[in-house]
Amino acid sequence: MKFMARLFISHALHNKRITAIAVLSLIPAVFTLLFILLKPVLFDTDIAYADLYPKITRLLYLHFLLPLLALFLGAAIIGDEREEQTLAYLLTRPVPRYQIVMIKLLAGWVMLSIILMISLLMTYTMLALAQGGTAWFSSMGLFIRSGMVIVLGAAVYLPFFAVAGGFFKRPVVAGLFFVFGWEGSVIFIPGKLKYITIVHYLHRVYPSLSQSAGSNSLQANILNFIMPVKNISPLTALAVLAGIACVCIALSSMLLSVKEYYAD
Amino acid sequence: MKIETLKLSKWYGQVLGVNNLTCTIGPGVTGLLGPNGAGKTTLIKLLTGLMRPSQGSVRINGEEVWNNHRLFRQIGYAPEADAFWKFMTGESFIYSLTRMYGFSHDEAAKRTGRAIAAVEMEEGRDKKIASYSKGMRQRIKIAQAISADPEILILDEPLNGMDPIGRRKTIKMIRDMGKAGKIVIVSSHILHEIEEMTDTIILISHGRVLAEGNIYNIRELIDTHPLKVVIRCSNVDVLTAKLMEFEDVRSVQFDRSQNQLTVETVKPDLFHQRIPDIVLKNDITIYSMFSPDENLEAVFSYLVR
Repeated sequence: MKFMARLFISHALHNKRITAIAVLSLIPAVFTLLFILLKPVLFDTDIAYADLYPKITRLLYLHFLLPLLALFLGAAIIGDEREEQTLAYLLTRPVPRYQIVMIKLLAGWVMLSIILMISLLMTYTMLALAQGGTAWFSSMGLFIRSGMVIVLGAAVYLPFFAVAGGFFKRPVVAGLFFVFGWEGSVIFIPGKLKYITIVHYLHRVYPSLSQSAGSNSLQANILNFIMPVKNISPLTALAVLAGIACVCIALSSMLLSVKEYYAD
Repeated sequence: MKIETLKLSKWYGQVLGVNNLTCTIGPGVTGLLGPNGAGKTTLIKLLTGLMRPSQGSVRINGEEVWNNHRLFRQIGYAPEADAFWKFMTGESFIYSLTRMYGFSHDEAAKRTGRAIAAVEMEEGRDKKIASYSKGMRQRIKIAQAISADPEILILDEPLNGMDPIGRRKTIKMIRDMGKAGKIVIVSSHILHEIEEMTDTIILISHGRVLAEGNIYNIRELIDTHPLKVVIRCSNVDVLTAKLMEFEDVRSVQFDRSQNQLTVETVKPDLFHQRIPDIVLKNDITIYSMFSPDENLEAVFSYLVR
């Protein structure tokens, strides 16, 4: 099993998709760098870098990068092997099909987590350095907590999109609709519809907005109003996310066991 | 050990890939022969558990193949597709796939070395697969199939793209495996390739078995197939008249403007023996002579009729 995980990671590392994902993951870091450089020119008021980090993490990572990269990776968990016609080799080894999917998901999760954490660390470091040398150490707790949420999010989104990859002919289109159409809009609609998103539960385990220095801002209050933070506890959110991940892992494993791959 | 298919059918929507196929394959080399699109690859995918039968069953020693990963310990499979993890070297490719049989590092490395030696790829073993020629890639595919020393070896068009020497060596290797008591199934659309490997063939067309068994029996069927011969010569009228005298000549069509006639004979060997005598006695010059349907597709379409 360890050997197969290493093999799949090594396979993924040689895949152009991972290069594209790694490049995309730099978007928040580039954005942060530009912001720091252009801040004196563009903004008159003083903006605290410490307040910026949770916002960037929430908007650029949780709402954008994490689901997008998980979609690109998850939807292709088996699709890449199909495209390269190497799936036949895997499926004719004495390895249960569910194990192949699970190891592939594990390898994908490790890769995605590493990429996102490197990107997050870059963003965090730039903001901390702009804030002042000691901020890097003093805010480390925030970085670790937000990093854990992102790693957790990768563990949920990846199998979720792997299932989409098995069900839909164009999983990327379906996934984009889910991320930016469904999750992107439902999260702002008052009511219980947001319970049918993943990002809502990630918000519940994410260090809450009210704990950050900018919690009294109008923007924060609006977000607090449209995304109430107190409706479920972090533990419940964790349990729901674990449940979604387990169901999706089971479904994607089952799909490979029952599906045929004509073209491979 | 044996492979059995019972009333096996596979269709994709409206397309029938394999149609009500019943056969038993035992130890030794069995050639799966058929023109392109006959259903050979579909049958192989059913035998290797890559496809689920729409109807009927595929069993190895009484066990269903579909979704039965334990059976794959006994199966080595080289697909027709030119597919690899191209970032790997030939050696690491074989090693990786051998490890998936559950062998330890040392055992897998030992088996990889043996498989590479068997296909004579020692020289290119450290090179990236992306840099291999088609023939080398074919040999690597075969090596990964034999590395675990499986009891059943299924090779889909293994000689495609091989040079004559590689072809000869591979044929010998396949024959040796058959002699060693393994079940070896080799698909091809080229009759003489299969003839060099085995006497036992399954002739398949449009997803159905046309003939099964000894190649010589099938040869007899093929030999009664009327052969068309197109001749371009200096005197079409005389040659037509002479050829029409023979009973085995079914028809002659001629085209004076082209100096060409098309003869249909049921005894091609006898026909070819007679031609020199006729042209010498009647002072006819032959410009060209060829058979447009001396290929497997023509034989298959004849057998289907």
